[in-house]
Amino acid sequence: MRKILLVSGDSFTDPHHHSHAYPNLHFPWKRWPELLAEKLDMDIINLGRSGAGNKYIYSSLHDFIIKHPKKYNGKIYYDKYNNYQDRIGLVISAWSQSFRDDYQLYSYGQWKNTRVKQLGDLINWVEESLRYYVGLQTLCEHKNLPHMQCQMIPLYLDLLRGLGPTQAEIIHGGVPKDDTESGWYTNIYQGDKERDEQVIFERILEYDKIINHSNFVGWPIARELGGFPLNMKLFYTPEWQSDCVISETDGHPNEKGHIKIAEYLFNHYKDYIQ
Amino acid sequence: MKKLIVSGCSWTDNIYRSSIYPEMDCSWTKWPVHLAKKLDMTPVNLGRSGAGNEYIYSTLHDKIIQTKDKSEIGLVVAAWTESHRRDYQNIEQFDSTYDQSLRNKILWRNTWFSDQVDSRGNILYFMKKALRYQLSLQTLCERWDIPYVQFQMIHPYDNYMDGLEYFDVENNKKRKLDYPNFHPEKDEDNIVRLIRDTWPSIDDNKYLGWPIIYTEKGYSVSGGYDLSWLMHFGSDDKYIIDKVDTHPNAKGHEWIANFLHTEIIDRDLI
Repeated sequence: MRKILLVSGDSFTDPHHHSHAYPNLHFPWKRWPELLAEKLDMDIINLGRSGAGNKYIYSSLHDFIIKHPKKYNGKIYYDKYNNYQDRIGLVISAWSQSFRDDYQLYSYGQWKNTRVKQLGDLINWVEESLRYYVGLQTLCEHKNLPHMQCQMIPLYLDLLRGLGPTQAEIIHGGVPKDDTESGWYTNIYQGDKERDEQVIFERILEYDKIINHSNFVGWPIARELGGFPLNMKLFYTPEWQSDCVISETDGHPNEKGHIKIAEYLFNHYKDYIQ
Repeated sequence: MKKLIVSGCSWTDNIYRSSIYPEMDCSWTKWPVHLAKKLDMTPVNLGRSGAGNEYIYSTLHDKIIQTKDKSEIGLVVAAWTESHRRDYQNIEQFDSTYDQSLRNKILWRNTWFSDQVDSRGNILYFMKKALRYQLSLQTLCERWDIPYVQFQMIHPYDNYMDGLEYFDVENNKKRKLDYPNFHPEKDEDNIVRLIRDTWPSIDDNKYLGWPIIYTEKGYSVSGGYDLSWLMHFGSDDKYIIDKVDTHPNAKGHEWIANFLHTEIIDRDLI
């Protein structure tokens, strides 16, 4: 019986991701979870969802591992994957930005998200995410499930640098240009950037002895600490250009980018998990 | 001596102060201290007034994770609260006049804040979130082989669905908000279904009052599951401050500790 690769993440993982920057374009390529499942000879359950934050990523994997839902977020899984609970061969969490908020609506619990949380501050949003990382690791260890985690995109950096306009805002206008380095209006970070980044480093390092390094690709997730977010590692050269993303405006992986992610994770799986 | 690690809301808070009677001396011994004495353990009480379930889970999680030698933990107790509350943390900056080197060291303090109602999501989401925290705590304790017990101190959705109460200071009486949905019966059916779906994953021996639903003999410690219990606890001044502030008084805290101790021994939880 074929095993199942169970994956959750944000738009980098979403099998139906479409570009807000280019809404009329269709991207027919396979995404990294599907490519990786082929390499592993596994079936795939891909829960990745555009805009999702880490609460969604943790919750969706948790719900699947614990409760084996036949229907989730409006999608039916039962028919295709009968008894899938016994077949999970690998769990992968591709973590996103810490400052996104997720919540559920309607009687069937449709997941929604916002770009930035309403309440709290960045340092503690990072800590909340770190709790999810430990929570998922604990769950998988307890259930004896092979698992891998990675920080797919930076956990806190974009907010610290000043959150720029969305792709849709850039393409469709409505956002004033200014004289900053990027040329676009940004939401200036309200705290002391340098000091807060140091505190974030301290928080991440507090989890260093708790997180299983072999299972976490790029731990301790910040380049300054010797780790990396996967997209930064794979897509960006020192000149800040890449042929692995859709365009300069849309930094999501293109076909080549998805192949590169799948290969990188497959190699890590072979070296450390298998 | 092993540690008794406890978290919860105002019913657990070691420094509880009545918002209705701010001048009242509420310094009586709280149930975690009574329970620790009965179990011959050292109490570590993380309870905080107004807290929601994210706070309860997070504080217990952090304390467990930070304890290097897990065998030091004798028992973890989660006294869950209303599901519709929302917790968050802010780093509080103290504008002190200390010298700079000292200031940088103590300038920051993590402070939890709680809202009475989460502004995003609906009651079903609040309950899903609460049950996820409860399952996550169960997993964490099982993973590290830590004795634990959990229960709803306050019912997770009853108050919200009945219409949240608030105290009208001007008229000196309690008032109720309307439930923000036209179909409370349908919502309640969905919650009952959700709890039943969760049942196979919950260790119900370690969850006092499971499955929470009254019609199936579930209960919250503050409410009980039938009228006789309510007569003894919920509406009798003997165990609560009074009919306006229904938090436990000194006798109420003793009652809770006795109740928990009996259940912990009977269920062989330590």
